[in-house]
Amino acid sequence: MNDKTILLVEDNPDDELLTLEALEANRIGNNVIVARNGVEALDYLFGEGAYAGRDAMDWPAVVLLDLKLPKIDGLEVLRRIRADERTRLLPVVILTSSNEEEDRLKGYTLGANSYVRKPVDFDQFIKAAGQLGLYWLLLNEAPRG
Amino acid sequence: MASNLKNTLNWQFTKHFLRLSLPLILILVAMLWLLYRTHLDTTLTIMQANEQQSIQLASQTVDAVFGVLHGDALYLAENSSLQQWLNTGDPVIRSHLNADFLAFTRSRRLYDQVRFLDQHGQELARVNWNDGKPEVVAEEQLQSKLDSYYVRKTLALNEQAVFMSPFDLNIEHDVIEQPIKPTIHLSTPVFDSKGQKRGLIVLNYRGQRLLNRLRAIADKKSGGLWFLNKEGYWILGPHPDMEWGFMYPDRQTMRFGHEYGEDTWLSMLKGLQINQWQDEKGLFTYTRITPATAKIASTEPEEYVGNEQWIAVTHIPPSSISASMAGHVRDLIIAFMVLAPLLALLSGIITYHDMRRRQAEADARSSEARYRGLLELAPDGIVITNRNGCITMVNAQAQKWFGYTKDELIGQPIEKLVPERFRATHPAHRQNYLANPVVRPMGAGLELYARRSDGSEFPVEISLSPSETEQGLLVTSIIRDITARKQAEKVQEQTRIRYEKLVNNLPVGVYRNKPDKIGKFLEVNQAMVDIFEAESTEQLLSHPFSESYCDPVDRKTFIDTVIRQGHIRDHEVCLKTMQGREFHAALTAVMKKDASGEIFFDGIMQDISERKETERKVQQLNESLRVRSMELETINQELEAFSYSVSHDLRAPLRAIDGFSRTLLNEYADRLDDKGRDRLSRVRAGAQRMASLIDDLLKLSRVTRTELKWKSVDLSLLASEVIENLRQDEPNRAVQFSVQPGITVQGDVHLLRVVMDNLLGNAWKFTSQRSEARIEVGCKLDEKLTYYVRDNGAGFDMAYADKLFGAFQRLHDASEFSGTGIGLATVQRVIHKHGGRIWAESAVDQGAIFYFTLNEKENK
Repeated sequence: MNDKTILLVEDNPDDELLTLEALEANRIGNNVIVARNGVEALDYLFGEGAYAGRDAMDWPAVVLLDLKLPKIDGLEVLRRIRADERTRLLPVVILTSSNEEEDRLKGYTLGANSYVRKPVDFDQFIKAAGQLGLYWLLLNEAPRG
Repeated sequence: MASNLKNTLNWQFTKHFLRLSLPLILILVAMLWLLYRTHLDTTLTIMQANEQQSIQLASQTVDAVFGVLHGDALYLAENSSLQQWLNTGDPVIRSHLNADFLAFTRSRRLYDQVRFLDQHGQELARVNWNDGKPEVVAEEQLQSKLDSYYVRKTLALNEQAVFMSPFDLNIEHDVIEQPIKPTIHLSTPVFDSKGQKRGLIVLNYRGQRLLNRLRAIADKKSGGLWFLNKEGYWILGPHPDMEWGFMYPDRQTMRFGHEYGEDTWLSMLKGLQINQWQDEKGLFTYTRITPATAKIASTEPEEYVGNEQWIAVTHIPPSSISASMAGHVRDLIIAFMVLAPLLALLSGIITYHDMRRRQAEADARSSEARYRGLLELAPDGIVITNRNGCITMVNAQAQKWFGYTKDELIGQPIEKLVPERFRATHPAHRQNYLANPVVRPMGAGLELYARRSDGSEFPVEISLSPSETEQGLLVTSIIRDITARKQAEKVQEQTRIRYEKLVNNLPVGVYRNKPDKIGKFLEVNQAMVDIFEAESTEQLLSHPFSESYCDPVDRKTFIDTVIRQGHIRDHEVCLKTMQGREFHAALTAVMKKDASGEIFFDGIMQDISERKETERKVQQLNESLRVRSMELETINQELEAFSYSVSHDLRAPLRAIDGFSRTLLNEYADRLDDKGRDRLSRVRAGAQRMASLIDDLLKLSRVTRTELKWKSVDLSLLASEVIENLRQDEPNRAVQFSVQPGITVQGDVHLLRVVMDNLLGNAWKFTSQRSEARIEVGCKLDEKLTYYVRDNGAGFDMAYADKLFGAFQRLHDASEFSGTGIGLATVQRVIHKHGGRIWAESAVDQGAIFYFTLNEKENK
């Protein structure tokens, strides 16, 4: 399971670190690629821009996607992922501070596999991250495009 | 069918024709028969009379002849020359005698021979007729006739007696002289003056003369006149060959009795002297003539010697009778031939007209039946009266209405149906009507009443129509019960009055006017008078509406629109009152046409000046509201963005604070003392509390922003789910929870969830220190349907109840019960959004009840 990468799309460095720590606390040692905005996330996924030449067939096991992002926001990223034939079935978990019902609905409508609110209580965040890892990295074999 | 009918008609015609014509023809036949019989009888009577007359004539003729003969014989016996000669025997005298005889024979022309014979039968004087050239027979040619029977018989006679021989044919020298010479010998004795019988006079009478005279009588009539001798032989008969049968040996059977019956003959010979009868052989009339007894027209008795007797018979054979009737019969037959067809024709004509009449009668009868049927079925009451006012006919409807049977009314005076109070004058009305009977139509403006059998009255309309019939003048009254109509009219009148009152009391103007040049009002109500500030209705009615328009063009537009569309609604115009004050009016009108097709408008008019002013104000308010609303919208959007930022951006630092504090506590615990760890824990608690505050604030703002999605919500189920979540979070707590099942409300399921989360969460929280916690959810009907959540927890002091639903207001110490103080504010906001109220009852340590209602406005 460790050979699978996790793409974390997060602009806040604090949250990035906390997420990484939470994953570590759950002994999830997968390689985590961090994209700091929507464009970067898409470039990575499709081997474009800064990631030109990347083996585009090496899909991450899961994309942890924040919604509030600079340039292209998370929902747009999700839309584009689902719009592309290659990434149509890529597991995407929305990981966000927002507890807005609207965001949640939009996320699911656009094809998010799960929606996790980032709790302020870090213990709960660790718990949530653990559940995420178990589910998406161990139980759920990402479908091959 | 048609041919059947035709056949039936033909047969009927034939039947009626025969029924009429046959008796007529029979009567004709009978009459003709009677005529025939009468004629026959008359003819026979005439014949009989004629025959009798003929017989009489014959008899008289014979008597007359023999009277003459008798006289002649006696005259000659007393001839002076003869007496003189007898006395003297003088030959001169004898020549005188011969001259006398000659002159006598010549002048008499009756006798064939006139002779004088002496008492010895010797002819002494004789004159022969000699076929019309009488001559005295010479003396030498005189013969003796002593052998002759008549000489002997005559010489035996006394004076004045005459012997008459039978009527026979003269025989000369034993042969019947030809041509036959019917002869009767008459002889009488001659006495001289001394009374000595001296001879006899013999006269040979030429019977042919008598027979000719008799034949002349017979010639005048149709049948024959016969002369028979007493043996029944014909002296004068039907045919010369049948006559003188006794003279000819070959004619012995030619007797009357032989031809017509011996009985008949005997009755003629021995019976009545004169008689007449008719049998199959014809009409016979006879008389017996006996010269010896015949009474000639002389008073002196005559004496004939001899028993000669003759019978004169007339006979008319049946053929002659028939022949005499034949012409008459022919006439009758012609009459029949003419009259019978005439009668048949007459019968035909009569039958035809009779059938026409019958048909017409049948038609009339059926038409009458139809007419009666119609009368019976008529929806109106029909009563027919005669000139005297007596009812002759009454139909079913009239019987029903008046409550009488037909038998109770027929023949009764019409006044029986008139109410008592009008009865006295009614006959006079009738008389007036009869004096000038005209058709009086129904409802000629008279209010009439009729009387039922039970005495009650009902209003009627009556039409009268006179008709002249075979039964005299009849008056047909058609009666209509107008009770229902009267009732309807009354109701209509009441409705009209109510309508008028209603219209007059309406707060809006109601009018009717004509869209002509002047536009006068036809009708207005009180409100119109008020609107136009008129002094009276009359003043307004005389006021031309066209002058009330501030702008005459408006009127034209209004009229054009109504005429084009047929109606108009809330058309706003500027009008002037009669005082000249301008006001705004809303006109609603419909176009109508009266009976003559003229157009008029029915309309409603409202003075909308106030409304106009109000509208203007509302418009102003709306405008400012719109501006405010836009400002609010902007604020709202900003708030939205703000909330989103709060949600995202305020939490991120808190997560960092809490997360990294934890990292420090976990990974650097060995480098911190107790105080340091304590402070870090407090940092974490503070961060988490702030996160809760942010979440609650967001919830509160979300309630404000969210639009309600009304649905049917099972509140009982919702409460159970919330309690179940609470139990999962704190499975160690023992809380007795009861919920009234089936509480269904209308509302937004998410927001109601927030309500139940908070109320039940509070109840859960504030019963945490109770060993036997109880939470109850239910509803009750006070004035309104009220829902409640009750617990037996810490409760609160009602003195602070007004602060209960304020944001960030807490009635408990944070150390005792955690909480942000925003939950009940949120709940109250949700309840208010649902049009409800919320309140609470409690006392410290006595538990609390939170009541709320929903949709109060709708549930009222």
